[in-house]
Amino acid sequence: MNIEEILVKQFGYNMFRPGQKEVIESLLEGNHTLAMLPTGSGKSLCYQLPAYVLNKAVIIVSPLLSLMQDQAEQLKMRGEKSVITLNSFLTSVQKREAIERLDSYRFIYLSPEMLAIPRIIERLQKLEIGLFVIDEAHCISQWGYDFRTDYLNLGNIRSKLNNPLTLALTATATKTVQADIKEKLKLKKPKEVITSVDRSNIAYIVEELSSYTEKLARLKELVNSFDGSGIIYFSSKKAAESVTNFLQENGVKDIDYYHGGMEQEQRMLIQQQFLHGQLRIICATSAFGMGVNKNNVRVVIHFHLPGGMEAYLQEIGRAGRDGKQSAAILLYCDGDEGLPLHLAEQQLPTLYQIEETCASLHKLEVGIWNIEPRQEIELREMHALTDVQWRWITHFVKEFEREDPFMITKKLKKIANERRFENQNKLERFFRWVSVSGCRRVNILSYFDVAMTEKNQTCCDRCKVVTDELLASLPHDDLIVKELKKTWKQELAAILIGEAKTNEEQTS
Amino acid sequence: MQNYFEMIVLYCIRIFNGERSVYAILHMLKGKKSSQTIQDIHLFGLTNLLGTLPDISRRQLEITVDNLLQSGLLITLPQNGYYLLTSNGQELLQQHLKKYPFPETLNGFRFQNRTQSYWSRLSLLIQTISHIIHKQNRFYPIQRDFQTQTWVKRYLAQNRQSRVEIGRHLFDELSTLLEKRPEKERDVFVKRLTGIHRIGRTYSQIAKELHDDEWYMRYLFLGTIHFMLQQIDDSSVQYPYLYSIIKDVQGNSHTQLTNSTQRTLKYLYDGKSLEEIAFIRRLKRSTIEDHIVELAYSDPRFNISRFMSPKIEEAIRIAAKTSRTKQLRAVKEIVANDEISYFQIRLVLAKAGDDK
Ligand SMILES: Nc1ncnc2c1ncn2[C@@H]1O[C@H](COP(=O)(O)OP(=O)(O)OP(=O)(O)O)[C@@H](O)[C@H]1O
Ligand SMILES: [Mg+2]
Ligand SMILES: [Zn+2]
Repeated sequence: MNIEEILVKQFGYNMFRPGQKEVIESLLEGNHTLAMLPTGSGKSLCYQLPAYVLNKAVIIVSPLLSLMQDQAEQLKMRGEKSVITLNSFLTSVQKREAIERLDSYRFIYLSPEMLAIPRIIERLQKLEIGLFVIDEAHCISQWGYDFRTDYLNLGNIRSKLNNPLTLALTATATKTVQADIKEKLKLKKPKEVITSVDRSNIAYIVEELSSYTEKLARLKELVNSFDGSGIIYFSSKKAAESVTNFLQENGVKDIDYYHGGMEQEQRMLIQQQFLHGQLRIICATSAFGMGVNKNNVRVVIHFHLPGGMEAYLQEIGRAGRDGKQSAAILLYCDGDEGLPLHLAEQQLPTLYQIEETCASLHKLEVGIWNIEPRQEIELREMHALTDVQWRWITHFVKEFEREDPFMITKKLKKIANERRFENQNKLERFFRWVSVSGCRRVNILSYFDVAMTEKNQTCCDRCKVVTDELLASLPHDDLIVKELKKTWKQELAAILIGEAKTNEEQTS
Repeated sequence: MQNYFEMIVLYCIRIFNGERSVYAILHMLKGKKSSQTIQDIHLFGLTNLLGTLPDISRRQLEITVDNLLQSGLLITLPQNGYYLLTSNGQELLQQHLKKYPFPETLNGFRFQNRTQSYWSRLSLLIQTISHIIHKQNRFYPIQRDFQTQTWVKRYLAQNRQSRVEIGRHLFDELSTLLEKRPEKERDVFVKRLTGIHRIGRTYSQIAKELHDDEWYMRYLFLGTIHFMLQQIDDSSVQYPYLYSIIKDVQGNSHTQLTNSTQRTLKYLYDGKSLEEIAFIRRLKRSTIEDHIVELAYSDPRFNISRFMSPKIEEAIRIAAKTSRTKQLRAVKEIVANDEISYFQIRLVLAKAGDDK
């Protein structure tokens, strides 16, 4: 079978989307490949399809557990049974079982911290690896918007696995970040497939409002002016909840919130209600999105400013994955820029925290590699470190392990300062986009240093798109509103007996 | 009061009566498996609430206690910083308890180990059956937990019966059980289910639909689950399908024990004395005493006579009845006998808890 036939037979698509074929061909020719294709453009297919040609295991490293699980479930939905997700939440028995049977899987999803476990590396070394995929590869770069210290070891791991054929995927990497990805992964002269970052079917709109109250009122208007699905992003859990309540009290139906502070089961319910069209609008923090593959999200609204251009593109990238016209609307009000700055600040330890924590770590007898959970809790409490801050510090202390303690502290402080500076830059750069007078699309493209390929008529507010007209013209999606049955018993019967009851009675 | 959680905290503070810190409440609600917590719930009669809010955080509790203080429902005891209810607090609690009593079926002590597995398996099995009988074999599982998914797969592989039949039996058993519960509990339970035509509701959505409190919905739901587990335990033949969901998850009292206590129990079975066990295990005598008290609470058949004479036991029993607080010191003052140790008093109190 050639790849076109596999596309039809295995995936049920008629055509490749831009970039997909180039990436797949490059891989099948045996080239390490760095691919930058826009959000929602079908990057997963770029490693899923080759799996059926190579007939060897495909390993996918993915930054988030929920993302991994979503992708695994999507594969299973397509009838692919041979999928496993290995993550630290499996019990040790489950892990052992899975590891023993590792060679029986076609797709192996791994979180990067699993790759730090020697037993797993040893097992993978014995495996014939067809393709090694790093999804969301920008996470490897300190200059990317979602830097994860866990990703930094992937280069070494590649070497340990004997440099398997590698695919690095991202939707949002500047030239600097692309260079960083290649360097950190130790990819020498990979083939690069860089299409655009632009989502031509998403119109960009920024609306400036004069107060918080006005912003709320406008938001209410907006959600009432389209009938498809939407996501509203907030930078705090509290805001997501309180605005949801406000909108509900003001008669907006089929809306609810989603954030990382909710229990797993409740979160899953909300996510699935949204996927099934039972909820029309989700008020969410950035915890929502990655992995949520709903094709017909029509509108993404930002109630707060995002952390930067890359973050913004990732978040609005949830819209219009079916290729139809969609909208990204950012509501801005004077003073909003303080919040993301504050949030970015919290991600990093303060210089004082660095000094104090390094001093404590230095005194620790067991050494940096053998810290027990109890000690971790103590240290974190003592220096008031969040989880992210703790991982940040310990990562770099490990990295500079051989150096003098004084130098370690000094280096960490230097890196932290650089990161602070970079965060501010990112925000300022995004802020310039908010107030840019020219076309917003052109401005985004220049940020990523890529050329405009196709330009949609419905471009941005600077190109004379009017929000209300745009929203009124978006494609319609009928929400399936499912009324509950009258009594609990009828409802229970509908679930467990349902249509089957009548069918059976007819046949018997 | 703003919500049902505040009421629960108020309730626990009243029960602990200034004798425990709020962290004892935290441990209790989270279902911490320590000798101390197990003793507390029996001593104070909180077996129903044990482990009913496993996800609650320290911070949530602290904020709530703060709110209660601010609203003048609590006062702080100067000597230890613990809390007591003000008369306002007492009154408000009384009103709320009347309006929103805990489901009488709630029994965290007995069921906390099985609650989660029972519900995740049941809900995923129902979702699966619902799809299969409607001729849809693919769907996004509502439970992401690998263990639960594996269980459902195995269950269906081993059970070759027609899926329609399984569905009907589950319907019969569930509706028989639900018939025995109040209207509201049935509603909450059924709304939580996911089937072919809809995804289950979250607690907060159900609360809004029923114009009730989200925390209260959780407790009603737990009440239903515990009721089911109890019925399944007591008459498994009547509910063979539901029983098969949970039969492999151990729920007897010994699995509640901390590991260390289980080892102590083994030595006791071997006929070792308290001192010998302490010596063998290189633990303090007091630690072994804690284990034994825990055993006394967990197992109604646990015999305490090897630790004291019947006369001493009787004396303590009488003293405990006369004493108004649960404080050991008070009981000890009443028995006024230097021969009698705190350990012996704790043991008798542990057994007395079951007599009520
Ligand atoms: N050739 C194709 N034809 C039609 N639909 C496709 C094609 N390739 C992928 N899709 C669909 O596009 C959607 C997005 O795919 P995918 O999740 O792989 O995007 P992505 O680029 O990884 O997005 P993100 O940047 O959010 O990670 C999916 O619903 C997928 O099924
Ligand atoms: Mg992707
Ligand atoms: Zn434009």
